[in-house]
Amino acid sequence: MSNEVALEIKNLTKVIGRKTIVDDLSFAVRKGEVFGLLGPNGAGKTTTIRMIVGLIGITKGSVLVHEVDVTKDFESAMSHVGAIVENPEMYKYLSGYQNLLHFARMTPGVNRARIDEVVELVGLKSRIHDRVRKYSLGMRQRLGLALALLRDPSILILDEPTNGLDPAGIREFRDHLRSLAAQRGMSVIVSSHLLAEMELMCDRVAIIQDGKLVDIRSINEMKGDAPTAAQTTRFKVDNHELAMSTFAKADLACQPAPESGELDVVLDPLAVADVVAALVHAGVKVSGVRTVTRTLEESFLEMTGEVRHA
Amino acid sequence: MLKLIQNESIKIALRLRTWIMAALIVVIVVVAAIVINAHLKPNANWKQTLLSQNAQAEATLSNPHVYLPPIDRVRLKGQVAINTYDIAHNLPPGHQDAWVFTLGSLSVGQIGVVFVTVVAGDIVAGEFASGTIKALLTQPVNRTRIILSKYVSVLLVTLAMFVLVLVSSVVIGGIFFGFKGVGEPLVFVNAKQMVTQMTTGSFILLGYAFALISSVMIVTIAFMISAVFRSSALAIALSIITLFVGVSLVQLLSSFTWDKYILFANTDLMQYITGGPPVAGMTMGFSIVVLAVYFIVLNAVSWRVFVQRDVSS
Repeated sequence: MSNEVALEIKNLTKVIGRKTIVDDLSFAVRKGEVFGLLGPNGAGKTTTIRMIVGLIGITKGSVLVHEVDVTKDFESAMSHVGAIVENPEMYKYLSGYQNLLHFARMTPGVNRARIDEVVELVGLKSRIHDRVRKYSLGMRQRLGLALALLRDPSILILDEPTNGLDPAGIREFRDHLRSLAAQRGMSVIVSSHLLAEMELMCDRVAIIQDGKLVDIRSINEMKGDAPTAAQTTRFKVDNHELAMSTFAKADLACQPAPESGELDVVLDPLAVADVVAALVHAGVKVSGVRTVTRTLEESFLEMTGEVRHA
Repeated sequence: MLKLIQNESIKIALRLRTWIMAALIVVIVVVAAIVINAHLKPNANWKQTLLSQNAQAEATLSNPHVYLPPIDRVRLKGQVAINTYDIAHNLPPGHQDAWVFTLGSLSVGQIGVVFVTVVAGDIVAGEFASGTIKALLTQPVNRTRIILSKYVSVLLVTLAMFVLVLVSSVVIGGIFFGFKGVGEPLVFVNAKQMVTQMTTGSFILLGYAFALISSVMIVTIAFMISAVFRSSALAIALSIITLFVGVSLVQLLSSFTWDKYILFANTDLMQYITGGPPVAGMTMGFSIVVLAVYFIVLNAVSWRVFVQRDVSS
């Protein structure tokens, strides 16, 4: 991943009537990264995406695609962008191929060879000449991806891309995205309200709430699982007092884990073996040791200060 | 731009309903030919009948004791002139040939306008209804070009419909009644209430050209409603209603001077060739200017709303 910026959003604001849907949002997406917009339903993710791709007007601020302002030169900005906004809707009375041909005519330089290439890429070759009416949702999703990739965009924008997909479809979709970003240096922007999904897909995530940017974090830093960093380690022991005094001697802060009755200690992964030895030496029976990975959900709830279950 | 028009035309051409409507037009023309053919009864004494009709009319016209409104007087004079012409040229009344039949098919064109309105009313609204508008508007093509390509396609469909009516009528009429008669004069009462004549061929071209112009106005209304309200049903229903109510409305309001500015007082340019305008003092030039103003305003509204619209939901 380079530090080259592919898409930049500056002070983006959308006001509809008296309601501010998106409020002074700014972020930059680097080349080759998968960037997530995360937030509960109604947080303004879709509105943000619709402003980026020019489906709705911008009240204030700007969207720059490779430094080209979307509102000033829509055609040249959009030639770098492929998008699926919500469900990929296609002309049902046309075949998948006719749909792609239709959109290919709207972009200079996209020929039949390119269509065949993307059809191959999304694995729709055997059914591409069937009418879209007969497609399953998964197939339509793949056709949507083929369409978004048709003009070989450097920025791919996907709004709630896995809505309605089954787990296998989601997994397949995620693999597609990761390989596009890694192999082709494509920047991918995905929105979702599903935290677990974002965790698996994205490099960085912008957390949005009530139209405002709460924070931008890299997934690794949010989960806190960088290998050298200190981690919460959970000990299952028979004698709590003895174990706690042992931890205290080793200068380690410890606290009871929620619900389980175990003990949580924050420590360097390399020190785990020594701590276990010290506990055994002190006569504590250790029946379990495991590191506790914070999920994105926990970080998210901590940041937005809300008790909400996705 | 050509590729965009190609796209829109393909989307219209690949829908089944387009072909059903085209087939219906041809079927109606065939049925009309069959019905007319069945009612063609050669009357051996037709010259006698016309002569006595004329004698009766002349008597009425010259009788100072009979009051006749000026319009009826002109009609009667016209009828006498037409009868005289038919007798002199040995043309039995109600005679048919491909060309007279084609002229009559202009009313099939009216049905065709309803069909074209369906296409025009759906072409923008349908994209919103199916959600395909999102894909269409996220291509590297600005909205002005998109809506222009859609409008041009609608105009092409309108033109194609009239060509279909014209060609199928000439061919089917020719098969049933023979192709002779394109150069025959057609006798009619003109807008200045005088008996005039024109070759049937010229009259057909004029009739179809003017019908095309008035259809373009209806289709433009349907397109505008489609673009503004994003509802195919509303666009189709409203424009068909205006198509049928418009003319009666003009007649109803003919006592007002502003009546002549109503679109439907001007859509039928044929009124300057035969029959006369609904409000005295209107000229063809006036109507053309009024039509042009409506045309520009309707299209400006469609364009502005489409280009500015927030596509959400």
